[in-house]
This record gives sequence, structure tokens and C-alpha cells, in this order.
Amino acid sequence: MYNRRSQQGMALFQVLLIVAIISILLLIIVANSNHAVSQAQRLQQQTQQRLALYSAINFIDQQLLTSNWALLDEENTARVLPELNFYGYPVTVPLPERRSYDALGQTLELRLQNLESLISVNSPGNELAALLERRGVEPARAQRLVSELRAYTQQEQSLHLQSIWDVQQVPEWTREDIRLVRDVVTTRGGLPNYVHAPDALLPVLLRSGVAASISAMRASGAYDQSRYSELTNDYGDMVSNFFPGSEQRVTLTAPISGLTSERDMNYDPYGLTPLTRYYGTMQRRLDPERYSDEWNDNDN
Amino acid sequence: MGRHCRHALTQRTYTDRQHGFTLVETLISLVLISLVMLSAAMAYQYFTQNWQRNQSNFLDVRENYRTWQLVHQVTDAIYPKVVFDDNQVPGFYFLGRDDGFTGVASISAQDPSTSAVFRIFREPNQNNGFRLVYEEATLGQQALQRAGQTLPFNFRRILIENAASISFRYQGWQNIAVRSRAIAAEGFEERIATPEWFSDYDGMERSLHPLAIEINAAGVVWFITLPDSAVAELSRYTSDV
Repeated sequence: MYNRRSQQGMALFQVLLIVAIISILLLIIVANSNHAVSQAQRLQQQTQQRLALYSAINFIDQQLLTSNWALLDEENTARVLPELNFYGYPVTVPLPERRSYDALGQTLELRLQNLESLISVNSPGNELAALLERRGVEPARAQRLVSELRAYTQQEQSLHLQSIWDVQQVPEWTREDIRLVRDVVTTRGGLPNYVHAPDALLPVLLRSGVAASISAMRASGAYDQSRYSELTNDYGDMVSNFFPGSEQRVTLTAPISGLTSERDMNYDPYGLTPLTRYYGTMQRRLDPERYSDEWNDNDN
Repeated sequence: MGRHCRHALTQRTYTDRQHGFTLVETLISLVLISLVMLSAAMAYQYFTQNWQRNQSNFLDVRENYRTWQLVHQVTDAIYPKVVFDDNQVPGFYFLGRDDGFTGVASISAQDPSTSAVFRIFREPNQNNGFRLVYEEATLGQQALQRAGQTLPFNFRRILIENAASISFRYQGWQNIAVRSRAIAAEGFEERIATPEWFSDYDGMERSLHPLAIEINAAGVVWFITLPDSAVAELSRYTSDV
């Protein structure tokens, strides 16, 4: 009687053990498959988001090449750009309803930074030293960095710096130094145009009170180049003007995914009707009904 | 008596029910369960192998995707790099042939904090086809100043393993003189000179940088647009442009 009961218990134990083993195996299989499926889905999602961002970059380029930068040309029905600023404040650009943009959502955040409003590493001066100090470099070393950079750019038969990371080829400069300032310096830039200087650079270029006033105006949307002139007594001249140049640092961010693209672009605007970057049979977007010759040429 | 017998029968039946499995029953059930387990194990093994094969393919695809992303970022960052030739004449560090090209980008695939010289070219594979290869030499603290400078290329990546054909061509202006005439004609003539497609493009010979590169891998076209800033770059070194 005892043995029979023991046998019964053994059988139950064996069945339970086998069921447990099978269950564990099944759980492992399900966990593995879930992990791999989620990995594949993540990759697919990332790919779709990136491809959508590349597509949106081309769309924004086309918008910037064919829209008036200074005015909200209401007759241009294809325009989706809001009023632009060139000192790096974000503006929201609505995207057209296309399946290819689904992964990005309905909008993109666009920042334009005029490159002529940044400090050029090819003509280093006291502003760069002041900037380095503000970013935590000791004053003596900041001066040394600027001196070395000046010596490098002014040596005979030297090449202009064309990439910001090439500054590490200058004695004394390290990658960390470049990282400290790279958001507000450029290798491009012609005549400095500090009307559109980013907020981070204003305290280096202007008196602190003026810099704070300009930042406050920008935040409230009440800033333009006339306000800059009023505050700084700088009204420009025949050589330098306050219009944003063709070279812009364009930063696009997808709000949902946080994907970001940053490029230094040359949009070659040609008067109020920008020169397209493709040199085909037509040079300009000639639309005589909307843009008279006067409009085309009045800015050159 | 009748009650006793009925009681005995009831007791026997109860006892029989208590017997549970006999040894033979247990052995048979164990054999059956073992067979089921064996089948399950074999099925699981097959499933696992199949899964690992698929996962391996997936990892290859993912790695390939990453490589393409990196290379895409590099080709997006190509710029017309000015260098001097042996006679101190400035030109552009770009050499395009029908089997590949060498250019300069402001980032490298290995390290986004340095510029790099890179090349994309075709080479024959064992299947009588071609593979598309990427290689680069990061610049870091080394300045690129001469067209003839020797650079250590590494970071070899296969972009396409097997294509029946791979060809390269370059869109650009014939040379700096044609480009300068086109600039002078802007605003005066409705039609000006247009860029052309070339099967080779030497940035030092032409003193120009191409505007676009087309890589055609058996009908799949990869089109890379480049910044049109060569003349502006060169104007920093010459006074007659």
C-alpha cells in the first residue's frame, strides 16, 4: 500500500517536472522571439525615422531655396515656412501630409544660424579669447590658444582651416578646446554680422546689459535688425550689411524621436528669388507675375 | 451476509482505485513522455538553429545598415579641400576615376571629431562580379596640405558584396575658366554653360571640385550631391577669380 502511494507520487512529480521543463523552454523561446522581434521593430522604426528625416531635409532645403527669407510671401501657397530668424531660435515647420513623413509626426523644429554671425577661426581675435574664458579656459591659456591659432593662420603659404576639427592641427589646441566652442565658431564667414549672433555669443560681443536686452527681445519676438542698431549704435554701411548671408547652420530636430541633423549649408540666395543650387537652363525662379525684375534685382 | 459482501466489494473497489499507476503503466507513460520530449527537443533545436540563422542574417543586415549610415554621414560631409601641388598652386584634393574616387570629408566614419580622406571604389570578387569598398584615413592632428601626401588608409568596409557592374561618374564644370565664364554670364544671359558628366575628375588638374557623384551598381544609383563652394574656396588663394 505504501509503495503504491509512493509510485503515485513519483508519477505526479515526473509529470510536474516535465511540464515545468517544457514551460521553461517555451518561456525561453517566447522571450527570445520577443527580444528579436522588438529589435527588428526598433531597427525598422529607426530606419523609417531616418529616411523620413532625410526626405524632410530635402523638403526644407527646397522651401528655403524658393521662399522669401525676409517676408511672409502670402502669395506663395507652397510655402510652409513660418517667419524665420537667423540666430538659432527654433521655429516649427509643419510637414505636408505624406506617408513618408508619418514617422516624424506632423512637424519639425528648424533652427537657422547665420554663419557670418559666428566667430571665424580663420580670423581669431579677442572675442575668441573672451569666449574661451567664458567657457572655462584659464585666461593665460585662452590667450595662448588664440596666439597659436593666429600664428597658424597667418604663416606663409598656409591653408585656410576648412573644417572645425582641423583646429586640432594647431599647436596647443585639443579636441576638448574645440568641443567647448564649436557651437559658436565657424571656419566660414566673411565680414562679421553680429545682428544674428546666437545668445551664447552676445555677452562676448556686446556689453552685458545690451546682450541681455537683445536676448529678452528675441524671447518675446520683438527683435529685428533695427532694434540691434538702436541698442548698439551700429547701423551698418556700404560694405557690411545686416541681412543674413547665404551660409547657414541648419539644425533640424524631429520632436517625437529627437533625431537631429546639423549641416552648414550655402543657399546662395540671389536677391529675393534665390539662386537654385542646380545650374540648369533657368538660373532663377522666374515668375514674372509674382516677381518683377525690380524684385529680382533690388537687393544686389 | 449480504451486507458484509457488499461492504467487502465496496472496500475492494476503493482499494483498487487507490492503486494508482502500475510500474508498467509508469514505464509506458515515461516512454511516451520521453518520445514527446525528444520530439520537442528536436523541434526546439531545429527552431533554435533556424532562429540563430535568421538572427545572424538580421545582425548582418543591422551591421550593414550601420555601416551605410556612417558612410552616408561621411559622404554628406564632403567638402572641397584645398591643397597645394608641387609648384605651390592650389587645387582640390579630389580624384575621381571610372572605378572609384578619393575625397575629403569633415567627419570620419570612425570618429566624428576629425576630418578624413576617404575612398570608395570597386574591386572584382570571386563571383566574376564586383564589390563596392569604403576605406578612410583619419586626419586628426595631421594636416593635409599637399596633393601628393601619403596617407594610411584603414577602416575597410564592404558596402556591396556582389554586383554585376559598378560604375562611377562625376558632374561638374570642365575647368575653372568655363566656370568663371558662367559666373560672369549670370544675370546677362538666359542660358549659360551647364555642368557636364565626366568619367574622371581630377580636382588638381581642373582646379575645381565636382558638384555631384553618381555610383551605379547594376542599375541601383547612389547620387551624392556636393557643396558648390569650390570657386569661393579658391578665391581665398587667388586674386584673379
